[in-house]
Amino acid sequence: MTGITTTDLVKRFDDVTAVDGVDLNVRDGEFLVLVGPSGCGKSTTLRLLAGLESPTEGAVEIADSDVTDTPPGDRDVAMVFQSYALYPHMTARENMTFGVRTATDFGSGEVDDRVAEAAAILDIEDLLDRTPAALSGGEQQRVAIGRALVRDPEVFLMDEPLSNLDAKLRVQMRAELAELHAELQTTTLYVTHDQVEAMTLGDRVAVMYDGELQQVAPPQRLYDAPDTRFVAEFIGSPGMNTVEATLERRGDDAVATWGSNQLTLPSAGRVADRVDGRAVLGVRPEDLRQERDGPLRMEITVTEPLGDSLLTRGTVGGAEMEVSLPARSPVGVGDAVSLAADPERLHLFDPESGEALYHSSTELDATEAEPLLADGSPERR
Amino acid sequence: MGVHENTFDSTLGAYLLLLPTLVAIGAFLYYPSLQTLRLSLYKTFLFGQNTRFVGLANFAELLSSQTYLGSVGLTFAFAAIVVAGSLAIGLFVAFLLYEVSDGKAAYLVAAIWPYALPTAVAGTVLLFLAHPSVGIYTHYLEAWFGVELDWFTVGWQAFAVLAVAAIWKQVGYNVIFMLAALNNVPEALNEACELDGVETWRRLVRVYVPLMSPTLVFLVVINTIYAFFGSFALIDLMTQGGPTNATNLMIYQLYRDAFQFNNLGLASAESVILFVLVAGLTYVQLRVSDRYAHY
Repeated sequence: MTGITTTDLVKRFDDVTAVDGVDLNVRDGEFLVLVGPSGCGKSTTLRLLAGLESPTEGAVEIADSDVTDTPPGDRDVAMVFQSYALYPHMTARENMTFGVRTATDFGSGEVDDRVAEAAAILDIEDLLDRTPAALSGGEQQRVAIGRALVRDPEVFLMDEPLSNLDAKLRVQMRAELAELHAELQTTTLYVTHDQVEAMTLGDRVAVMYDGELQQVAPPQRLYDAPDTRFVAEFIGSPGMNTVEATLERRGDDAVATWGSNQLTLPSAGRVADRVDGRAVLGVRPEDLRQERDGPLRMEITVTEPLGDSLLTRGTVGGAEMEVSLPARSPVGVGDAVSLAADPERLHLFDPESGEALYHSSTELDATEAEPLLADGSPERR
Repeated sequence: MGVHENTFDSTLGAYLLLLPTLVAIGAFLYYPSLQTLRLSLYKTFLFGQNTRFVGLANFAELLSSQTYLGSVGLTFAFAAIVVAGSLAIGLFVAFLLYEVSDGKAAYLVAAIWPYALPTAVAGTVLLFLAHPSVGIYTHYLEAWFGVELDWFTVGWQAFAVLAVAAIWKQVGYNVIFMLAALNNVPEALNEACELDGVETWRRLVRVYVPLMSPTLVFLVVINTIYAFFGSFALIDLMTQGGPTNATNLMIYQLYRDAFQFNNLGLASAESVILFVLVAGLTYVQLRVSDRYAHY
């Protein structure tokens, strides 16, 4: 077992708490992506696992042994840095072999074999005798990944490795990383601020905000049934629309009202009893559609043609919302359009704590849909 | 564009602004240099009031003088020892300062203190610290190294004491630059080393020194120039070139010829030789280092 487990991990820098009680479990062979906005503590968490920072409280286990006080060099982890951290005065080959000769007891011949193998996997065989200055960003990144591969570590740690690449190269490298992981099955923790990267790469995705884990789940589940309002708004591009509404019970169902807009939430009656008449309604831009007699009315303020769709921003009952309309829809700024929502794709969140109260989809099984905060606390700051 | 183009109607304004600097440089640098060059071709009498053109005779005299050639050899040896010593010790101290986490500022001040002392003060202090009969350190040096410390009369000891003094004086300067260079090493590289468990000294030699190489090249050049020129005050205060010319470096010989023996023509020729040697050496250093330094 070469999983990673953190227990109640806390890291404070003077009076700033960067990581606030994180219990994370990366399973053996899993590709887990840690995603969150800048300053949420994701990179600090990674550095705590690498041993580059030492935790204020809590413990880190790698491969079932406690490494909380183990120096980085003895943890058998390899890291890929955002800046690549290649030695500028060494060739690609020297970069790949420099660390491995101290970090492992591979013989010289074995190291050469491993470099050749890694170079073949990453398609950089022709670049091995060049220095980083003579390599493009993408090539440098391959060398940096190659350096980690040669080490054959228990765990890969990747700190935003693609964010210095241009958009096209990033998509390509993303696919290659996924392939690489499918081939090697090395336990990997990958940190990014890019939720698309997180969704496409991760077996599971851990969303972090303000030093705390919000939700750890497979990508689709994160999208379909976010545990918190933050996750709902963070995941998806653009994220979920949220609006504070009054909630009234109607038999088994409930009706959310804001301004002159009303939406019926199937089987949400028991939720309406719980929240005392107020809740945050969530609906994704993709789950809204234009419908002549739809219950929502939107004043369009911005249209963004994305090619395959027309992203439209406007106000619905005073709240900012976004709708993904079919490409070439005949709407313009200043128009008012009627909208309807997919009743299977509605969500409710607690207005104070932000935790999810309800997902309308019947496909999500009830126990999993039960809202849970990652840290088990009833409230979030 | 356009707005700034007409600030000066001609280049005249620019030259006017440069004038004070040009005048100062001309008067205090170029004119004396040219005068030196001219004087080196003359025999001078009576403090340079009477001069007679002798062509290259001054140079011929110098290059056939055993004393002068000895001084040249001595100077090169001295420079090699001082440059190597002050760079090696500077690197060691700078690296310790870089690695230490507590009390960094205090250590730094301590390390660069000697550099902040005027050379004349440093020379006087060292003269008494290591004075053969009354020096505070003399007893311990004799006890530890098992030598009879008598550098007022033993040539190699005087040379050694002078070299130590020159290194001690220069280390602080090197430490400042080296520490700045070390602090420029990207943090991610340190972390990459840490994750690979690269030991401290291997990291210094294989990672830091190559990355510091532009700074090190600069320091080699500056230290060379220092060793050739900057040691004058130390010699004058501590050994006066003696005993029996054992510390008679070129810069001191030059001074003596000019101001003790009033032979300005000869001293000028020595100045020219010294200048050519240092310029040539600097050029070679820069050329050679181009191959090794990573800019």
